Amino acid sequence: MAEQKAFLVNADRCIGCYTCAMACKSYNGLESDVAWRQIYPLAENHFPYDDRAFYSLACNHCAAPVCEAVCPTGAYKKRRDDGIVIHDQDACIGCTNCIRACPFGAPKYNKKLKKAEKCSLCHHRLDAGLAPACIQACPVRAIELVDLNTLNREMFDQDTPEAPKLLETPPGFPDGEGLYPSVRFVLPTLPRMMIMR
Amino acid sequence: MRSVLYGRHLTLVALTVTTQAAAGLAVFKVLRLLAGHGAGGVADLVLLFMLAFSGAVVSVFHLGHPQKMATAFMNLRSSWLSREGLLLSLFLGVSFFQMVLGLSHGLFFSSCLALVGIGFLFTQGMVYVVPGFSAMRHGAPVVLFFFSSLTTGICLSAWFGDAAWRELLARIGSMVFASGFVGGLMLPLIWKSGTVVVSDTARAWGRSPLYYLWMGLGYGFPLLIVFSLKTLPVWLCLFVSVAECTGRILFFTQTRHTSDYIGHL
Repeated sequence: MAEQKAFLVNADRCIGCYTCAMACKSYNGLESDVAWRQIYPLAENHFPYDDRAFYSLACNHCAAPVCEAVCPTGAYKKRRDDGIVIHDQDACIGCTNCIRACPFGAPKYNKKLKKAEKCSLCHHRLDAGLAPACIQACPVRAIELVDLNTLNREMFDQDTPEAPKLLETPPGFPDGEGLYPSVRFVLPTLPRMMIMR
Repeated sequence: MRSVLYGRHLTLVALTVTTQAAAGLAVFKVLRLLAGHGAGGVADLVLLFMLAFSGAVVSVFHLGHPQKMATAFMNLRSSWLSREGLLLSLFLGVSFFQMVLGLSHGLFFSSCLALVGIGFLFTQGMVYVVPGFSAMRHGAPVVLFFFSSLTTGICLSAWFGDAAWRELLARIGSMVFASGFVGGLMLPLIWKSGTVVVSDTARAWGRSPLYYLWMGLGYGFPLLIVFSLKTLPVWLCLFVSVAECTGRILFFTQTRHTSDYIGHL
């Protein structure tokens, strides 16, 4: 595989404004009860401060996608050149097996179409040289698109105390054992001085 | 939290309970032949086929697009759902030909049917062994479905044999019901020591009246009956079937999904 596209979620920058989720919904013309990208507030035991911290999550385009494995019709395909997991709506029969199987809740059920659907990483935009809608819309640059193969090498090269630590499975995120989700996180940092109620 | 009963769940409840009962019936037919209690004509095969067929028909309606169900066999390489569909079709085919050709007395054909049934049960259980259901990741659905098949199979099998066969079934049943009862009580206790999602599944099961109905009616009550009567009455299947349906509704509605806990794991 030449590349493995991945989201780099910077929870230290995210302010939970939902702009990414709205941009995704708007660009992809999603039904009102379907959201491919969600904002998840972190529990207080993971971020013990009055200000909340968030993970902005969509499909993680796993290296070993369980949706592709369990789909009985083969509606999911992983692109060889960039590792994006694409869902073919024409092939979907709406069995919801992928929705049950994915621990990240990426595939959603479209009640109108009676089919599953999920984040496509805006592959049409990527193919045209544009950034995905969520990344383009984020006002604080809390989501970035990275190539995981390159990122892993860079992390190894820049393993200094000052460099931001990128995590694969941060607190609050499903472990995704055996799936290898293509997402990395920068953890939120607590303020140096805290006023606790 | 996904604790609401959808129409989709009801079709899955009907599919799993009926087809598991059919597989159980096939297994106990082999036992009956081996124990020398008569083949029982084709009546049991007719019931077995009808149960499996009705399950297969109902299962189609859990799909968003039932007209495309033929494409569900396309990913046999990795999808347990495709494999389940294939083995259910095979089970239906074998039972149909056995029924039509009058091969109900043959131990070989009955054993073949039972083996296909066991294979089908395994694939059906594996469909739910997915990362999304943390509590089910280690194969619990396979065990639950095998027990469901055994209890319903025992009770239905009591219809097709003499008094001596029902006494033998009572002895087998006492072991199955006792081990199912103990296992069913232990399962949430084991889950309690698990991760957030797993322990919350244990709490959800423990809080649900469906769990106690399933345990009481499906394992406790039959255990008392077979111990006190020393035989397996034909009416017991009614209680066990209702219990298995409640157990399956519990399974589909109260098992927690990992994605509901993102941020809190």
